[in-house]
Amino acid sequence: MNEKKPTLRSILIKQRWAYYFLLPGLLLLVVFNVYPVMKTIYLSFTNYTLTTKDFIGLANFTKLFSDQKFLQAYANCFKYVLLLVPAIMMFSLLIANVLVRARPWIQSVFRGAFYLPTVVGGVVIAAVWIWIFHPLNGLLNYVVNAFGGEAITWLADVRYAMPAVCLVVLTWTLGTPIIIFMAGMLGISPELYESATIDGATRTQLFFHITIPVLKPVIVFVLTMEIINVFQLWEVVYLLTNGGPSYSTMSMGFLIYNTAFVSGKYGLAAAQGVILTLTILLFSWLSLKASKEA
Amino acid sequence: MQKMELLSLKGKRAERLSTGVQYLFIILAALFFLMPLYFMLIGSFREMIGAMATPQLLPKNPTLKNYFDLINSSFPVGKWMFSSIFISTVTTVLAVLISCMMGYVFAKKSFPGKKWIFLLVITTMMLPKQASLIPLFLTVKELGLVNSYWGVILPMISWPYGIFMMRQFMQEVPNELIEYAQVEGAGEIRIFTHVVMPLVKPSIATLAIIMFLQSWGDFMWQLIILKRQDMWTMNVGLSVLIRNASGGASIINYGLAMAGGCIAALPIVMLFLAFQKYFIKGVTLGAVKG
Repeated sequence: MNEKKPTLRSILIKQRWAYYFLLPGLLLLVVFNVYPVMKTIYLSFTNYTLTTKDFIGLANFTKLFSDQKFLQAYANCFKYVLLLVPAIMMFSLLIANVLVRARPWIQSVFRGAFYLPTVVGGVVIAAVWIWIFHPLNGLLNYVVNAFGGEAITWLADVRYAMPAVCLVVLTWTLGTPIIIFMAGMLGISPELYESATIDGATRTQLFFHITIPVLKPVIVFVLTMEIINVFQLWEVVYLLTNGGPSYSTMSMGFLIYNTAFVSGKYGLAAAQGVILTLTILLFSWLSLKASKEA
Repeated sequence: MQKMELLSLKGKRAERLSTGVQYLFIILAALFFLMPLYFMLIGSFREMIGAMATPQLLPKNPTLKNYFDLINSSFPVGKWMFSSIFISTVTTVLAVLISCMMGYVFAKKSFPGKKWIFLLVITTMMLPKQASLIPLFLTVKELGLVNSYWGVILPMISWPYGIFMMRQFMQEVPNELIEYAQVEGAGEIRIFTHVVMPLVKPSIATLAIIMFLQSWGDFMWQLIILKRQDMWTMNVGLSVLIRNASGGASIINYGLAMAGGCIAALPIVMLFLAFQKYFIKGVTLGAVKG
């Protein structure tokens, strides 16, 4: 028998089923994912609207960097990240750390309680928070009044609107990191804790010297994921404050939606999308890099 | 000696106290998380128009008026529910099928170009939706799929994360079983449907749950594509009720928005209670090994 080196053609024929299996998914991926991403880059250099589609170079970008509304929305996204991400990380780690020591049925009850808001979704959550924040008849001012405080217009006051939005996002999204951290903590070998306990370590020491270091890859994963999510925040803003008062809660996700689908400026919106995407990629790269060096 | 024992006893007591404080913190936090959902349920059973909307721990005059008002209103709530269920179900079935097919090929086949095609999948996984949103809309518009369920479904079914996940699971399928089936003369499609798919059933359930939850919770894309009121999903319809409640309409009616919220939440909450195990598994996938 003389064995011939297989030609590319013969391999392709032999492995044709691999391509048949890939074809439908790949086709959809290219049409609805790859091609749009490339087209976004192109559109960002045009003044694409329903009536115009001229190439205008970097004009969109120079325009954006002198546009007060855009700059505020861009700055707001960083404020959202700074307010929300540390709170999410801290509360989810603390809650998970207490829950992992509980009995399994207690764990599952509380896990369900914390995850339920995520299951019902941001729109449903907003349906009740819009009432809670109501200045006259809402729950929050009812509590404030009970303690002798003055009624606050939560969503119409520049000082309170963003923290109010953050509170809603926190109650909506905290379930996921809690579940992930619990799974991670339950995977840590109990012997690690036992030997440290014999050496006289307190619970706080165990948390900072064993749990956190062992869990580092998971923490980095959640941190990156949360930064990416918060940068894209929009539905709660859309439903609770509509970006106001005076643009103080406007997020990039919502601004892009408005620019494209309310104002019809697709080229400009694409440029905003490019800036947001680059920012997100930069920060996820930074958090990965920082975690490798630490 | 005695002193040492006393000290450790004191330590234990302190530890028990701190455990108590920690549990109190957890219970308060959980109550805080459930509080909005509780008030939504209560609020849906009472009139909450204008000054009648002050907080009540239990509805003083419970009524189904909001639900009847919603059903008898000009809003086609039944159609919204149909849209949500139809879109989520079709998206889930197709996404699971595509993910399995691609995951299987990436895990078990070697062929020219595999590395590059897989890299393409991974790269698209890392991009936020704003990176493709506008051209995606223009493409869907050109295809004539605005105001069509397919305009919502098609862009969601080739989901890079799902493909990546199924590849991980498919790698655990023993090669011997596939080879044995080949020797027995089974065709590629038969091997896929009768050997590979049954072996990854639990993973399929997990992926299906994540996909359903994701598609059910989607909002922005549905809002962009479904313009006709009778095609809206629960989320889009509810968002209009909320914006009406927050000042868009002349009469502010929170009860209506809360009843809408309860109706929107019911199917997904039931699904969650029935398949909690798969939900939890789905959340931890990718983050925690094992």
